[in-house]
Amino acid sequence: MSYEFLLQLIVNGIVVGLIYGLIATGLALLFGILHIVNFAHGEMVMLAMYAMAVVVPLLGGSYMASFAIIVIAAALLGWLVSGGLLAALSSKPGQMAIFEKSLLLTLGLSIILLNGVQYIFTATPMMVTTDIPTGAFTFGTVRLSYGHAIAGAIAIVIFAGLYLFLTRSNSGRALRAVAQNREAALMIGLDPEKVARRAITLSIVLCAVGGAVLIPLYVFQPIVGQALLLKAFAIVIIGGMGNVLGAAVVALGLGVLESVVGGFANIVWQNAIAFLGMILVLLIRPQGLFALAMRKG
Amino acid sequence: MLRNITLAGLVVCAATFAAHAQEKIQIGAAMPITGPVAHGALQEKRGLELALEEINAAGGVLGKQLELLYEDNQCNPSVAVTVTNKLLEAGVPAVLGQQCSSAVLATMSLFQRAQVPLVSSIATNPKISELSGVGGNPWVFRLNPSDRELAVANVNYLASLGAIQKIAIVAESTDYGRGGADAFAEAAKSKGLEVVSTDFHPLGAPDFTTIIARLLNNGTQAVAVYQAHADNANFARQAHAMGLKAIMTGKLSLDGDTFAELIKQGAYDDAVTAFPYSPAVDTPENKAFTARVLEKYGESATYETFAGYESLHILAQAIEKAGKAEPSAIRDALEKTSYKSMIGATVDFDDHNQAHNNAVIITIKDRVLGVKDVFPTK
Repeated sequence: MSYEFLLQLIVNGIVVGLIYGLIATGLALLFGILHIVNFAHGEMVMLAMYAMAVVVPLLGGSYMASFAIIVIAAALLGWLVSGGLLAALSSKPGQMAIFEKSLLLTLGLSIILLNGVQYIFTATPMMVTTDIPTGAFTFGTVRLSYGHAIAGAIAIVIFAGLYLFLTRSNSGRALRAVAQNREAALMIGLDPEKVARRAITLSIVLCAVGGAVLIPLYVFQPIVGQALLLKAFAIVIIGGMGNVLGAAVVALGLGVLESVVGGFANIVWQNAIAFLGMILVLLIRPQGLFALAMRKG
Repeated sequence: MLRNITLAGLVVCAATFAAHAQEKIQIGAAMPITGPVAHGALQEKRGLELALEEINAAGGVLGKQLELLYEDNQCNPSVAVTVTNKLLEAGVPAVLGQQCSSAVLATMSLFQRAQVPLVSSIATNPKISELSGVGGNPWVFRLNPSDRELAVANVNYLASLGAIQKIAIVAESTDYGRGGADAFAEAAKSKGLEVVSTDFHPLGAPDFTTIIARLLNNGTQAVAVYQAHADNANFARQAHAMGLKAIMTGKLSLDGDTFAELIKQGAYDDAVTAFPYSPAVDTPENKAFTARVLEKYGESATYETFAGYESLHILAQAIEKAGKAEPSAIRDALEKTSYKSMIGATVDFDDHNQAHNNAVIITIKDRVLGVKDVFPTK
């Protein structure tokens, strides 16, 4: 097939990869800093989509205004629930560790959110019409729909912001410090509770952004988060559990690879790639592609 | 004294309970209440509940009230086996639904082993009727036309337009999608239309950009889809945004607000589909039915609402005719079904327990949905 076709696939893949990245980095952040495995991550993205479905019509279809409201609401909600969440997950010696506790808690939360949303909104496919026009930018024969372009642009801004936050700000450095070595972070006077609450809030904000960028692209139903979550898990495992930068890079790579393989081979292979990659990484480099070193013992 | 009162109370309770149990006939209803096709179950349930109200208000069946025992098969064959066993163990004399072809195909043998009839009204894989009735499984009955009959009608109509030569197929990777895709490819071949690509995606796939990129590049003029309707709405929205001009065809369920919006936006311009039902079919019975559904649920009836509604009426008629709520008597009575459907035809079963109700050709012209033709599938 043609060069234009390849180019189209790569453009599609980059946008899909950026969207995967938004969802996977939030998951990686929580695991890296708090050792929380969040099975409700996909449902939180879904919740953001339904929240958009409520807010957008109230604001007369304005996408950016609704986007801002949802993200701010997610930040507030994140900060509010983080305290309770940490209390529920805190464990004393001899109890279940935070990792196991988080598995059970978030799995339960996922079931409640999924069925709760289906109960309220029903499973009827939902479409939100925003002020983003239907149509595409065309570069020669390559097309990029307005919705995809906006999703990609938002993701790039978020990643740049996330990168600057984690590397240049003290709050961000504190997050990384706790992720690298919890005891040492305590010793230099970081407040672990505050750091943990920031991490949870940031992860929930990333869910909200992830859900909001899908609004102009998808017709969705309550189960939408499940497919996205499985992919995000594969990405986090390939990138190195808890490595935020690794997750972002793998997400982008996977998006492009999936698109090109799906385009030139049978589409069925498209969905196999992430999981084949995950199995390979677990066999050959179980710490993940981007983990620099693994502490033993 | 106190003990006597308690005893008397218990006796009264037990007696009422027994009487209560005698008054009811429980029918199994398996459907995908959760999962990627949950919207279909919601609609089917509306139809069933509406029929149930009517039947019970008119005195029930054999003087007893009907009751539906719902189970969620999640449109997943292995879950379908589990919940079907549960219904069969509960001793229901017949089961309605399953909805998904994979769920019907996975559970057909269970019905044969238990010797309990299944009345399927939505699953469209052609294999189901090949395996039912004469020389196969006499316990499975299907009310709706299979994708083979629908694909033939669909392709005939497309061919009559003259402009469409190249068609791509996009289907979900399930028994429904694969059965539909095969049926369409066969029908297209016999009419000399070229199938330029066939893609099978997972049920509930969120992103279709790769498939759309292929369709933008292979010169297809029409896309025949066999997808769950949430997936189809999603696919159509993305294809429209990316500027795919090929018309939509295959199996299109175009009822409901989301589709109304997509049609208005132009995602289904010039679409053509052969479908088992449309709320727009112009018969007095259908008009009354759709008005009732709209009044009760605030939403228009869909294929699943219609299927649920007629399937319970047909089963109730068979139980009445059987004279007792026993599986084999009901099965024998089902074979002799003669039911006047609200969309015109008289429903009866052939040797393969396949009914031949009417079906419709639906087209979108100038962004308005219209029923082009109501045709017999016999």
